[in-house]
Amino acid sequence: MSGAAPHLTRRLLAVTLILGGVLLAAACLGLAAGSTGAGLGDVLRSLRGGEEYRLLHDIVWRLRLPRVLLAALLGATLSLGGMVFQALLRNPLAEPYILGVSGGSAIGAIVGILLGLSRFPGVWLTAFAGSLATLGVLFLMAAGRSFARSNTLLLSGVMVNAFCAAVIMFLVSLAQDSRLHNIIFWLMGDLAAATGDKVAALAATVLPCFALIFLYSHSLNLMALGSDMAHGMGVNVQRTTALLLLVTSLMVSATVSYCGLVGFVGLVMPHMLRLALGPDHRVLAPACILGGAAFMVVCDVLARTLPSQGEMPVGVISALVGAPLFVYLLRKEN
Amino acid sequence: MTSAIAVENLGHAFDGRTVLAELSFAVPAGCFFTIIGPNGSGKTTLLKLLVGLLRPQAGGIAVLERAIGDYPARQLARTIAYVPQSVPATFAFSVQQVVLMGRAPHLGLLGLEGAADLELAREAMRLADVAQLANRRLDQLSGGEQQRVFIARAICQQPKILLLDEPTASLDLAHQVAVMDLMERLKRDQGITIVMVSHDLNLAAMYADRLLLLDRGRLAGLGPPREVLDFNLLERVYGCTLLVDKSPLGEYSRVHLVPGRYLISRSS
Repeated sequence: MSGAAPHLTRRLLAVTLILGGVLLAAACLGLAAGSTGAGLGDVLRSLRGGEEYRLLHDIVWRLRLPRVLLAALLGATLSLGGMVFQALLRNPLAEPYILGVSGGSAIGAIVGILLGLSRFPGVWLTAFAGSLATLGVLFLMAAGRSFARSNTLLLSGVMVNAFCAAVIMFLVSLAQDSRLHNIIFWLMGDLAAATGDKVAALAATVLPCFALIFLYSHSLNLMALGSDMAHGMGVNVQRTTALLLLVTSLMVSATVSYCGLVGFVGLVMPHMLRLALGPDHRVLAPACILGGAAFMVVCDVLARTLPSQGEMPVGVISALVGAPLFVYLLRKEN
Repeated sequence: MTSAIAVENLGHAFDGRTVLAELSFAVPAGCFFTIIGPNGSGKTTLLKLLVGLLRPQAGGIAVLERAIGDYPARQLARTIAYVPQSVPATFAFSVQQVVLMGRAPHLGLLGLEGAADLELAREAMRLADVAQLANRRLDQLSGGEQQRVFIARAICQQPKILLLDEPTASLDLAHQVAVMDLMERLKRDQGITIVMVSHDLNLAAMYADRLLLLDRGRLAGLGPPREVLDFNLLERVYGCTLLVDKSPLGEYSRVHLVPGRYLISRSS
């Protein structure tokens, strides 16, 4: 495509390089942080192997790298998912967590765990079913009105979320013994159980979703002008909306079933990046993937290193950092 | 002359309430066609049917002599551009970005615009008198400025038919004339068929080649403005007293409202 969109291509390249660099730096930090006291240089050398780094090599390869990758996939998915919801609902406050879609998949996931299903594909499928059920409820509550006229929808989402929270608490109260601790920890967002297999399975689920969303990023631009005008520019609005909601629920429920409920990333990252880079979703989508990934990796480093003993759920960090940041951004914009 | 749009026995109802019924007319190619009628007469519904936003429940619509349902969405968008009445502006797109979006049906899914597209967008912005706003944020413009941006976007789409829903409603006098002049120029210079819904009978009288008068979803008048703007017909359809005379500019009908105090009260 000679001469096509030099401006856009250049912007895409610049954003990808810069945020890619940020993600790489965050990943190095994530690989180096830990209780062994080894420096970044040692860690990087140990990646190549060698006798003197045997233990460190194992720690980095078996524990830290999967964890960093899981955090990156989680952050990328939630941030991109938030962007899609915000664009489709034309509401900068929308995200899967706030609309209760995450809560729905959490219910599904807990049911799966209580039934003793395997994480993949068992729990993931129940989580996906849960998120689809919430979406269905949201659609029904908004029935007769345009899905995009969305303050009603947002409020419905808040209610659905509150209901989901109650159901989750009910299910947790049913759980006994050691599973209780696991479920609560997982609920708040837990990356501790990362393994290479898990990361690979999650990547295989979410990466195709990323690609698909990027392909439809210009349709999101057109739909920002309202469904009537988007239709007038050749977008099949209903089909595109359904496809994107489905794909987003799919990838969000996959991360929920692996990592639990992590909020605010999906709200803060797209919002912040939109302020910095403008509203073009073709630039915003890759930026959300890379920026969200870097943000979550850093959150996980903080979750691992801040407590003097043990660690805390990463969801606590992302909410502690994300919620005030969001309030600040909201005030600044007004 | 071939017809740009041919409507045959069109009918539409919402929740059992008839909005359009037994409507048949043709818009000749290269015509300035204006749809008028009172509130609730079905003008906007008709426009939405013509742009494919609604599917006809009865009858059929042909665009360039091909059934509208047979067009793939993007091909229809290369044929017809649509400027709706009001548009939600949520995200901070710049005017130039919005105008460039008009290129979407001509480009791939990602809509990667090239230098030629940018040139078309600049030309469209110049025509719609929004070039000086190119880098402003759409959501910070006045309603009238936004309206002109959306007209520029529609021009940038390079359609054969341009459908507009009350494009002059939120414009000041100078821009009303400017937009109507622009439509006339697009018709004359580029052969674009203009189909417009309007409340302003006097503007319609001065610019339209043909008027379609709707009355509760049915055709009440169709033809050149001076035939349709007949005061007997208008008084019956609009349900108020009117005066129709000639414009000092020439052979245009001019419609006047009559304030109630000029009428002899029948009750006293």
